[in-house]
Amino acid sequence: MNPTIPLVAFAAFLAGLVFHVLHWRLKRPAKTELALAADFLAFPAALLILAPALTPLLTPAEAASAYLLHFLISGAYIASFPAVQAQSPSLEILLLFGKTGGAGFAGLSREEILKSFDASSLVSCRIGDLMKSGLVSRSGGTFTLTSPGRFVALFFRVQRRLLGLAARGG
Amino acid sequence: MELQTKILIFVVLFPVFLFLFHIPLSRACRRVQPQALTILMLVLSLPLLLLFLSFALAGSGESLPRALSAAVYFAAACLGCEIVYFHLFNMGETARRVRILGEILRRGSMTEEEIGSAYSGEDIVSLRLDRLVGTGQLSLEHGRYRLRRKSLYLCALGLRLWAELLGLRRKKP
Repeated sequence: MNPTIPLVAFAAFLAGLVFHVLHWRLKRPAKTELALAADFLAFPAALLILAPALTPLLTPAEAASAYLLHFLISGAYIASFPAVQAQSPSLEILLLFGKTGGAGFAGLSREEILKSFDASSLVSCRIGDLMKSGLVSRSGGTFTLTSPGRFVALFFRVQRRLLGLAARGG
Repeated sequence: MELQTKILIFVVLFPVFLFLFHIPLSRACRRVQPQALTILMLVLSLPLLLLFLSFALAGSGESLPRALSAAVYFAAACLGCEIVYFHLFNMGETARRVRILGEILRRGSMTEEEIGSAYSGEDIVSLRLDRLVGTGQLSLEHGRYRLRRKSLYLCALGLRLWAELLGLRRKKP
């Protein structure tokens, strides 16, 4: 395999990452998913389409291979991003121990851990996120699934059913 | 078939192989904590990936730099696939949004109060505490939780630092 292929893929990912950091620091985007797709997938795709024209180092097929690797690395970052953007309750629980732990630490009870969360906002903020993402719509006081929301819900229902897991996660 | 083509075909089909292997494994090992089982499966796939790469490289006749390049590409691509696979599985297992979507799908439409009854803040924290104990990150003795392993705790610290670098005002969970 042409050694330039993985190099170009990593360089494209790093360029996307730098662009992403600058983008988020300058103005946090309203639509996270679109912004991540633009920073990591669309912008480097445009560069890689131009790559064979700009340099004799890659053929079009090699540029496509480089984009596939870049796509997978970027996909790994994008899939991990929700844990960065919205505080994960699991990770916040763990961070409690960092704040309170130390020599002689007696541990935390369930009640002490629960007190550190605003229980009502744990669900309401995620309902808000679902509305912003267009997966849920609100009519009066009632929430229903949009077509994309229904697709996502069915995808995970089928996934869990095939894996023999309980219907409800969370 | 050229080495690059073999690698590309394998990488594109790898997530499908993972899922097809995950189905019987998950059904056979229902008593094992699902996230731990998924991670175990992904780690155990590494020797098989190495075997595939060895066979692919053995007959290719590639020079050392090109063979190393193929190995780096293959390793990075498969690692990317595994991370995406794990997160996609983990969303179904733990994500609040997916759970809420599932509740609304089941009932057709719900008010916020009905969603809160079916899936409360206390449920969310309790489920996670059980999961953290089940995966060995926390221990539970005499009704008190303690940090048992630092791996996920250090990940949490890293994510917080990254969020600060991005200038994110962290939303309350």
